[in-house]
Amino acid sequence: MNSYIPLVVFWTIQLYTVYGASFRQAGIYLLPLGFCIAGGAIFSAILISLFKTKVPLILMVFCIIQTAGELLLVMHIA
Amino acid sequence: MAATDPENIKTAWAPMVFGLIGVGGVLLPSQVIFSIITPDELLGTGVALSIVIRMIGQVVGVSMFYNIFHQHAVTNATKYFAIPAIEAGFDSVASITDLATTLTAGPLSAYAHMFPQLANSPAKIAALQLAGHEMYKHCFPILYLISIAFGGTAIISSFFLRDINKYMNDHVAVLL
Repeated sequence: MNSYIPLVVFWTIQLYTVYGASFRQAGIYLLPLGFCIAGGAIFSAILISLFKTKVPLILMVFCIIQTAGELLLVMHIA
Repeated sequence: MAATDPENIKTAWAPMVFGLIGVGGVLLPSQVIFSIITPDELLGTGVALSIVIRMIGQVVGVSMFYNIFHQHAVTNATKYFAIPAIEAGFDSVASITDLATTLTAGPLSAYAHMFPQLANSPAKIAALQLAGHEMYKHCFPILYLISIAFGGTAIISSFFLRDINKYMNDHVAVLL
């Protein structure tokens, strides 16, 4: 459950320090944060109403998507 | 080549979008499971408890990640940030700490008026912004690595979720 904190809390700090964003750019770069979380929630709500008997499986799939995203953020491709 | 290049923000979007869709997606099914398996008379307590657990986890997580981030920022500041800061005229540990902390709040040019050493010198501001970039880009990968560990435990625990099909019926707890 703690795995979303670097994505949500530290992304702002990363924008300013690593990517040198101005205030306006930071506002634009923070838009995906809200929209993707809302989009994921809507998508999982649709999936739950489509597959009523597979709720634990949907939870597992989204856990895997979340971890895969974090893995891609740090992974080094040879 | 790293998948996410600290010099180019475009490389961060695909993993970010994936991760954030996952973040949004786990919110709902856990809530649904929680409210389905809770007995009728405890429904309010159960839902409130599930939110409180999330909040407590978030508080513990933020303090933990912030401590790790701070520790790495201090180590990397002596390596990458101290010499450019001294060259720009910051001569005490307290003032360099102030400068490094200010970098996290926004672009340095917006806060340069707080530092008399930086008065009317865009070259110094640019050099310090670059030094801050060099310093902070080494602080973030460890946070994502730790979050992968938490994600891994979440995936493993999701394998132990029991089937809730026998509770999925037409029963409605409160008819409105």
